[in-house]
This record gives sequence, C-alpha cells and structure tokens, in this order.
Amino acid sequence: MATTAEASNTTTGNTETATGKMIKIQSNDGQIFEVDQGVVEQSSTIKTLSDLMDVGDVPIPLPNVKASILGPIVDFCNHHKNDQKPEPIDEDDDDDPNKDIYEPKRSDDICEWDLNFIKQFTVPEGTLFDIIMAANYLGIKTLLAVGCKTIANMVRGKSSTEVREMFNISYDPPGEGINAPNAIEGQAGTVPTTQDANATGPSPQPDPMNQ
Amino acid sequence: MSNVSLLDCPIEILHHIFDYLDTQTIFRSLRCVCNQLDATVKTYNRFQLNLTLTSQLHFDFILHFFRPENIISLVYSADCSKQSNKIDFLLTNFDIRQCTRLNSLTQLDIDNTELDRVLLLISLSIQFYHPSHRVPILSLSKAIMKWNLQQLHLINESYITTILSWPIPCPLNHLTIDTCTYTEFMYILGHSPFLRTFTMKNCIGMNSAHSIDVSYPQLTSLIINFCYLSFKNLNLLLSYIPSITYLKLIIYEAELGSLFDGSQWEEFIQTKLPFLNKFHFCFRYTIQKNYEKYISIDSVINQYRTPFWLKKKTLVCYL
Repeated sequence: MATTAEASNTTTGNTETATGKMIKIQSNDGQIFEVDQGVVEQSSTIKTLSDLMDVGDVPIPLPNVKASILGPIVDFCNHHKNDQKPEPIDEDDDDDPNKDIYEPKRSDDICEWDLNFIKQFTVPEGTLFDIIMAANYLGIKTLLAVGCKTIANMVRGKSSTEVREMFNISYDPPGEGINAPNAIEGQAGTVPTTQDANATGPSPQPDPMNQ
Repeated sequence: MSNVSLLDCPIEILHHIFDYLDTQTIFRSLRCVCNQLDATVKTYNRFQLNLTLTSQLHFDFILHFFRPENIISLVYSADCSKQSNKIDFLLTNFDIRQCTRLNSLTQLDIDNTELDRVLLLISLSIQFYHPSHRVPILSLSKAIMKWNLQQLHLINESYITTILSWPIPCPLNHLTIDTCTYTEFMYILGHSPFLRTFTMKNCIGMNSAHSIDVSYPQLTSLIINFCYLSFKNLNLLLSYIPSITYLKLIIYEAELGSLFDGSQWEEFIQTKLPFLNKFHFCFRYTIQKNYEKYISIDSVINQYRTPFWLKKKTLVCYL
C-alpha cells in the first residue's frame, strides 16, 4: 500500500503553488513524494515523464529508485532548487576562468552542504552507489557530479590494493573470480553496461609506475 | 543496507568518475584493481595525457597502451634534453593525426609545432620557457581559422604582433597572453566579437586622455595576473567592459594606495560594473611596522566588510 511522504512545504495534492504545479513521484517500494517544479526541473527524467504524460494526480512511477534513496534525493533537489543555473554554454566548466587548462575536472569544489549530505551514504552499505545510480537514472547532473567527485576523492593517491580493500573487490586472475569472462557475460541484463570485447581479455598488465 | 558495489555501476558512471581523475591515478589506482576496471579503463575515451610528468619507461608503456582516438587532451614538452628524446619518440611512434577526438593541445617549448598535422582543436596552449623558441606566426594564424579555435593560451610570450595579423573577426572566446599595450587591448576586443575570457599579465601604455566612448559587452571575465595599473587607469580599462561578471586582479604594490580603497571600489562597481558577481582581489604588500605611514592589514580588510561586499558581491581577498 502506498504511503505519502511530505517532500515540500505545501503538500496539498496536485495544487498550484508559488513554484508551479505539484507532481507526485513514486518509489519502487510504493512511497509517494510530492514535489514542486523547482525539483522537477533538476531531474531530466522526471521532467520528461511529466511533460509526456498528463499525469494529473497519478504518481509517476520510478521503478529504479527505492524510498530510502528517493527521499534524500528530494531533499537534495529542494535544497538546490533556488541555485543559480549555469548558462548552457558553461556546461562542464569550460568557461570557468579559474580552471587549470592542464587538469581534469575539479573534484575539490563540493560545497559544505553537499559534503554533509553525501556523508550519510557509505560504501560498505552500498548506499553511496545507490544514490549515484539513482542520480544517473533520474538525470540529476549536480547530484551525480557530487557522487562521482566523492568516489574520485576516495581513490586519488591510493594503490590498487588499497582500492580493492576500500571497495571490497577481489583480485581476479584470468578466467576466475566474479569478474571472469563468463561471470561478466552472466551479468548481462542486470548491469546496464556495454563492456568492450577486451573486457574478457587477460589480466591487467603490471603498471610500470608501481614497480 | 544494499549489496551494490563499485563494479555494479554502469560503465558511463565509472567513466564519469574518471573525468575527475588524472591519468596517473586512473592507471595507478584503478586499472590494476581487477579485469573489469581494466576493461573499463580501456574503453575510456576522454584521456587527458600529460607527457611532461612521465618517466621514459612509463612513456613507452603509455604509447603502447593508449589508443590515439581515446585522447582528448595532450600536453608535451621539450624543455630539457631528456624531454627532447621523448618528443622524438613521440613524433616517431605516435601519429597525432589519429587523435581524432583531440580538442586540447598544450606544447611546452617546442619549435616543431606539428600544428598542420592536427585535425581539429578547440584549445591550443603554447608555453615557452626558453626565449629562443617561437611558433611560426603563419602556422598559428592558419590554425586559428582552420579549426575555428576557441581557446588560445600563449604563456610567457608577447604575441601581440601575431594577434594584429590575425584574420578578422577572430573566433576565440578564451585568450591568454603576456603583457599587452592599451592600444592592443582595444584592438583585440574590437576584433574578437566572441571573446568572453581575457587573461593577461599586465596592460601598459595607458593614459586617461585615451578615453573614448565605446564598450565591449562580449567580455565577461578579465584576469590581470601582474597588475601595475593605477586605480584611475584600471577604472578606464574596466569602463570598456561593463558586462564582466568575473574580475581577478593580482597586484604588487609598494604602498597601500587608492587601489586598496574598498569604498572607491564599491562606488565604482555599483556605477560601472553592475553585473560583477565575483571579484578575486589578490595583493602583495610588505608591512613595515616602523614606517611612519604604517597601515595594518586589518584596517585594509575592514574596508571590505561592509554589507555591499558581504551580501552583494563575492570577494575573495588574498594577502
């Protein structure tokens, strides 16, 4: 049975508010959240679905996101709905005059609120990847960036062994382990990836930098 | 509790994570973790290779491993004898024409620019440490128009004569040059309708008598890294670019003069730069406590603690 969560200041179903029409979204475990246009605008998936479907009072189903993840995502979007929107031409910080032209994208610019937000999700519990994959599915670029930057910051400066320990990954010699060719093929359909044919090749060559 | 792990992430998310990492980390930390991450690294096609930081051994390995079409940014150097060997090796074994996704090229102290061999670039950076190195002007001019180049960074090189010979209108939207004169500053803005970010070392040859009634609203960011302009001349310069939203000034001054006067800046910004929302103001000043005109740093900083600076403008001050 579906339950309704209050995700906005005004939760009178399908009402017009100062920020526009309220829309209901439903997690895969049946919980309904009511969000305003400020939240909808941040998710390309929800925006597309609400534009295509004349949903009325019917909740938009989000079958890939559970309530324990969707709730914080709504909080995130509510917090950021009044943020200044970058001009389209500035996408990917290409126009940032502070950007070092030799460096990859920055990952040290996560604001304090976002840092505290992402701390509630962890690797051992798997929730950090849940929130990243949900952000990817919902098309929320800002949240996806915060999640990916967090992982990048965890990895930077670590050895391969440390990365394995950090993410609980077992090293898999050729033809063995959970990531062996057969295992990867067996995952087809459950993991939305398109692995290169080389994925089934031999183990990684030793890195001269580690020698 | 969830059973989701890093390896369950779709490949596009892993690649998104790679976007925030340097090539060394992708290789050192991730590639050797397991077969799946090794394969994910092999399919990544947004590598930003900086060959100036790699050893000869690793350089050979990189050239063997990387597919040229997966490289979007390339930095290489010939500023010492060891580097020269690497460049010879690079140019012999690495056909830059195969870098079909290359959009950013940075060359450090390289005479043989190979620019004609590059298919398409968005960003070109050429940096010189040795005064004998020069890029042929014709090659550079042709490259700008051929690629419709958007970003050009010429570091440690005054290239103004080159700029003056460029075709008009110039397609650049980012430009970094050395010191330029007031006349050249006006010429560049007058002939670069798409220029949004202009970085220079300093502007010289200014005189308030030069003032003319013209503005260049296309420019939104100005950075002056070694600013020696007076407040009056700086105001004149800025009055031509009323649409800037970002201003960065690095100032070296012997005395705390009008350039540091917060109330003057406040009045000027309110009347002449209404769109400015970020002002990075960095200055170096030697404090001499026995000096009769001693002014404490606190008294300077306090000028920027008014509601205007605290609420309306983002001011970042470095001392």
